[in-house]
Amino acid sequence: MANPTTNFGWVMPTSTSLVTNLPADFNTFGQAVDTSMAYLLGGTTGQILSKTSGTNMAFTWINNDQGDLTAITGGTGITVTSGTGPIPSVAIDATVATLTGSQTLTNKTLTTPIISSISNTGTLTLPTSTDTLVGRATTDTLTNKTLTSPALTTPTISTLTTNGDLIYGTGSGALSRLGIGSTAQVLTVASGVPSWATPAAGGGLTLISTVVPSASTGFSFSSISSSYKHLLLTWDGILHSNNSTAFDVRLNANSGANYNSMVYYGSNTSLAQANAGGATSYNPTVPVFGKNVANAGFNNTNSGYLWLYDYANTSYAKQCSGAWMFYDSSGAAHTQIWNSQMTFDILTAISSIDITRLSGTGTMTITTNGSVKLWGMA
Amino acid sequence: MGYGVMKTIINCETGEVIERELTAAEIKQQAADEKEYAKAQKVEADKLAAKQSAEAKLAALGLTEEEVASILG
Repeated sequence: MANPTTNFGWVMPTSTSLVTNLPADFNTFGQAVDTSMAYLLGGTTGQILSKTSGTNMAFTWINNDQGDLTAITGGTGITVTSGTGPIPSVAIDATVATLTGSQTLTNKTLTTPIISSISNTGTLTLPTSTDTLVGRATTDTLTNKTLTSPALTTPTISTLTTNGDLIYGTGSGALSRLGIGSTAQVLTVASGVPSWATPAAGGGLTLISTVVPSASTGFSFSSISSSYKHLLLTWDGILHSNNSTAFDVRLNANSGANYNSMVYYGSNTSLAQANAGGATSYNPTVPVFGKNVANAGFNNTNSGYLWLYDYANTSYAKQCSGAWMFYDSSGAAHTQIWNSQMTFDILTAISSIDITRLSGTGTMTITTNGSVKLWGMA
Repeated sequence: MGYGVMKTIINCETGEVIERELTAAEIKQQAADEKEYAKAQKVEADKLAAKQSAEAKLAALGLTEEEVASILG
């Protein structure tokens, strides 16, 4: 053993010390030990030593209460089952969500949650617009969707681009657009698909124009299409404003001596014939739209029809035929009915029909429900 | 200047209706038409007068109306 001792530096008697010096040496040693151990004196039951500084042997006795929990108070969702030591205990209540329990969460904001599946019985609010979610009231583009028995309300289809477009199936479920045809064309089938086509001549009559003259001194149908085979002019209820006026028909406003007519007519009870070769209108003897027709009523007013055959040809004279009747309120031969055949010796296609006043200052008016109509025969 | 006489033109291609005064040429044509019409009416009136004269003469010879009608129609 080292002398003095290595840790406390206590000085002990040496091997060479005289016996007479031993008591004093032990006194010194004992006092040194006593002094060193003085820090361990004192204290009471349960106390523990505590360092008072970094100095060696700097101890003091203190109560053994360091780090003890004296009481526990529970917070929201936590119940204290034993609030004091030595081992306090707490528990969560039913308001705290657990990992595997079934709970209802209210007003929670989840940031980028990953949801493996959704079982929903209420209203599920989704983002207003994303690439993968479609809102009920948002505008979205659906790709490769199969809709079974969809009910569409006023749908728009991008295939239809122009007013009047039609769509038809291609046989593979796809749709194809058929643009609107031209005026008077009809829908037909060509090469297995629908298409618009000009109808073949079928002999039907097309109403070209209707006129209801009132206090008229003359009128004209102009710009007549050459697309028909024949023209038909019909009229009824023509009433003149006095009994000294006459209206006749001209073609293409032509006033040359090109009208050659032969008419048979019934006048009161007699039958007569009138030949008007080289006239300057249809028939100046008894004009087509009547003369002196001043008595009202369909039985007195002028009515009739005229056919203009092959009117659009440019190689031959034009043939016309027709009949008309009226009541001449000026002369003795009142009731007149005329049946005519007329050759218009002009090669030009007929493009206008003129009802012109040949004589007098009166006007022409249509009786109620009467009309003048121009028809085209295909 | 159309002298207040109007003419209605119905364009059968467009449906447009135009009302305009007669042109000078049309006014001139109206005058010619009056003459042509009067001439035709006179011819017709003369024919009618001749027929009525014949009917009267035949009646004076003692023919009945039916006999005259069978001749003159």
